[in-house]
Amino acid sequence: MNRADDRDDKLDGKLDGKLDAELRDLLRDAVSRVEPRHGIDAIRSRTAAPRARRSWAWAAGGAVAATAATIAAVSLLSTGLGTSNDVRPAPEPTGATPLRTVSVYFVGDTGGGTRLFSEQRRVFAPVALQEALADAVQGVTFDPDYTSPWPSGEMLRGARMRQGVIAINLDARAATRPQGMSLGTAKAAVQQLVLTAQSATRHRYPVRFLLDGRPTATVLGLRVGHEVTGRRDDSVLAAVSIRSPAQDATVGSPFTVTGQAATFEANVQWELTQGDTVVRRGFTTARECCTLSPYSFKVSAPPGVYTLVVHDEDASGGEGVGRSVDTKSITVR
Amino acid sequence: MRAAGRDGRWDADTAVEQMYGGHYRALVRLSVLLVGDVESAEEVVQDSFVAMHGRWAALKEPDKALAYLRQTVVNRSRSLLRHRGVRSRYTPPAVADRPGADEDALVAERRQLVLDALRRLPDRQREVIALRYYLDLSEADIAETLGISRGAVKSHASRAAAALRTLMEDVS
Repeated sequence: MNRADDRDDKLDGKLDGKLDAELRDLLRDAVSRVEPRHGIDAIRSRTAAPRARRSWAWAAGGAVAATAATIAAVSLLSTGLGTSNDVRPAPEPTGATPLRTVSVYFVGDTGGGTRLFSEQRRVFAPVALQEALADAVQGVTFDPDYTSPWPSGEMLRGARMRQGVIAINLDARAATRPQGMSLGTAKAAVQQLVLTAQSATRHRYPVRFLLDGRPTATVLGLRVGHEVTGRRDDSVLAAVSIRSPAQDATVGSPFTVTGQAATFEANVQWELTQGDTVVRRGFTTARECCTLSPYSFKVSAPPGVYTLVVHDEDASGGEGVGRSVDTKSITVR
Repeated sequence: MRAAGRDGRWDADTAVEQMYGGHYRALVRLSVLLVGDVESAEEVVQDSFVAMHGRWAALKEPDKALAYLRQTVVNRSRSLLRHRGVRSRYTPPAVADRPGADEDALVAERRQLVLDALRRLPDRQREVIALRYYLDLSEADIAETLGISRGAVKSHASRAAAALRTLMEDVS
């Protein structure tokens, strides 16, 4: 073991040629008899979608979008669950496979009604807009408390950015509000796509909604006008949210919790729980009161699996958490 | 390039065929090193080709498409392992060599030992090792494929090599 460790600095191609060569041989040999079955027909049958779906302009539809979502999901997991070497986000690569960190927004319940929460993930940059929106619409979340307000993942037909405008093309069914969807949820759904698209493109351009490629003034029964701009106040975003650690992340101890909150006197309370047991609790203050602003605090805990709960002050002064709460399952190693 | 469109580029269907011809088998083998069985690996790689087809207009070039395929195969392999849940309790079917008179049982056993050893490594170490020794990727390419820093690649590689060294002493 130690002998190999001593060679860390030489690992880039030059190390101990013998060890390298042996590993190479062993790995190659291990799969040298693997002869996959003929797969091209299976692939062709799945890529031979209706022609209309093929054009690049709106290439986020159907099965392809579902694929995108999974890849994106995995990208976040990989940053969230890696070893300490991985936790720090890698520098943005500049080569052939650029990855981009994007925020994808979802809806969740708060005391104040339906609000947006965001999750970070790394996606393939050339298609970041399409992948992020596909995740948003399909509700590919890590946190089980979040969801997509859209009635079907098929609602998204595609998206593109051009000349200072982000265009999002939806299925024609998205014109009207589905039965059972509240006005508040519809508003959140529209902002969900706007904020996700702006994060994915890194431009806060206005969003123009299209239905089956044609301009529309109505989405989910809401008048959206010519263009929609993103709103980032607490009428749209959750009053308390956790940015990191991500859901299911593995962290060392102590670890830092970050997020944003808009609470009375900027008070933010937190607990680290295991089942019904509160293992740690504390409070902090966000940088500013009464408007969404960042907070950050450190937590030390013995190794174990926990639920991290961050919330505003319990206005009732009694039991239970306040009106706005976010939770994450995490592992302390 | 062959079968190019008007602008000298492949269309998505052509790209899939060309990339399939050149890389399908290697990608399946890569995925076998990661997930441990051929059937899952085939599924992972086919899914990745379908995804690549959907993104061809953004990729446009074979190099980018290959980089995308690699990345997708690694990510999907990892996702598949996670779906299996507690990995230590899951024993994938052995990558059985077709039984043949010329096939030394010891050789088959060694191959399985290598796959089993890989399966016991943490995800990142396994991925770094597979990309480095099977695909011969540079440290920079591995870092990009996995979305981690070069320093992390280095440290995963050295830890994994140390762990596998023990195995090699047993089998070589």
